[in-house]
Amino acid sequence: MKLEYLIPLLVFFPLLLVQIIIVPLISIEGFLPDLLLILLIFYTLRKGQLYGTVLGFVFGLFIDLITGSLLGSTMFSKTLTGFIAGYFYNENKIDIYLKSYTFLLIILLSSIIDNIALTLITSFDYESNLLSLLFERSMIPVFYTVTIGAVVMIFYPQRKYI
Amino acid sequence: MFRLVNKLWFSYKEYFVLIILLLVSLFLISKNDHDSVKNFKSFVFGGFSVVTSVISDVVLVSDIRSENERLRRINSELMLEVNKLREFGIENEELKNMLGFKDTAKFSLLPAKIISKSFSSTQGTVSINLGKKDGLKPGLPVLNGEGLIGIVYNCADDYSIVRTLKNVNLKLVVRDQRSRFEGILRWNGDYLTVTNLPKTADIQVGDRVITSETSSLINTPLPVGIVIEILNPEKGIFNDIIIKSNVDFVRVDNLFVLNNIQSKKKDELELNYFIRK
Repeated sequence: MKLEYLIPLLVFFPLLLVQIIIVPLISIEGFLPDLLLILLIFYTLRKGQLYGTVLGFVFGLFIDLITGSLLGSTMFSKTLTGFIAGYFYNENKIDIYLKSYTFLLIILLSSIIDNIALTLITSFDYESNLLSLLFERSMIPVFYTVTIGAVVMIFYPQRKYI
Repeated sequence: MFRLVNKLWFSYKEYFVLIILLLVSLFLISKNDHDSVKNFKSFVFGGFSVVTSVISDVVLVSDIRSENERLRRINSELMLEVNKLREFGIENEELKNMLGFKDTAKFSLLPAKIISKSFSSTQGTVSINLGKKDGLKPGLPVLNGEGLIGIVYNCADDYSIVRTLKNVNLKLVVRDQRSRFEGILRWNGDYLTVTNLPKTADIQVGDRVITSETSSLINTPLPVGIVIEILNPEKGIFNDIIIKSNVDFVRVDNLFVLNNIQSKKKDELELNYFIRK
């Protein structure tokens, strides 16, 4: 197996620590940006749809196990997100996508799908208002994640280090 | 046949992989309460928590000074409160003795520190630095000076996961402290709500809500929050109420686990979701 396929996992664990220890300190009304989603999209755009789907599954598995979430919920949403983000994979346009606003639009779309899938799985019941679930609860973390994605886009390295 | 399968696989492998992985995820969701899944989660969580704990100590050390000042102030306020309550306690004990009441409950508070928080708005969990070795068991209530935070959900040897009130899977029987009306508290992703209360329920905005003694999960009255809104007061046959928790879940760093030692017989009689062995 090529070592480069394992690099996302080496980046994942330190980033997960940042996500669960430091990111809560910058929460807005309890809503947090999802750094791991940005990482997933970043590598999906570089390696392709199949890779993104499997990577989403693996990320989700570790997130569920480590944070104590409903096992399978984040796996489901991140797998779907990796798959959707994979539609934007184009071998010839990797750098163009990662250095432009296209990256933010992909994060926006993927984040919406991720949040909707997770919300539907974890908290949808017959009493819930679907529109409230989809919009009120999902939008703030989506835009927060896109904002952090903009930082990644701005500081995207000219040379390939990761 | 093999050729056809091969051709289908190479044409649609992304879709096949997606379907398989989604099915695996759904299968695992359905097996969450299985003992083997819980044990595996405890094992992985316990291992990772060692690292989390060390980093959390380093990162949060800057907060200690301000936290210390805040705690000193609260401590002074509580000292005054305790003096008052002690008087009430003595009086209460005397009255109970006079009436022949039997109080079997004994409590001990175990101080704990949060080492990480989940980032889901619907599945609030925190990891704490106490585990099975400290006598923790699933189902024990977790609180701080402001009120109830949640319950212990899963324990590793040295660490535990706590489901906070902001977790859609946690449902508790609560009571209006003034009118004694009971209902089931749940987090709907936006608010803490008590739904399907009859119109006749005497609930007012500002009422204090506590956990109910009739709950098989937390049968000790612990403060939960206050009623801030009553929904649908004009229509329908039921009211829903919104409750504001006393606890600031964003800021909370230190907490206590209430090691509730109950009558063994009572525990055996109740069909408790978390069987405390």
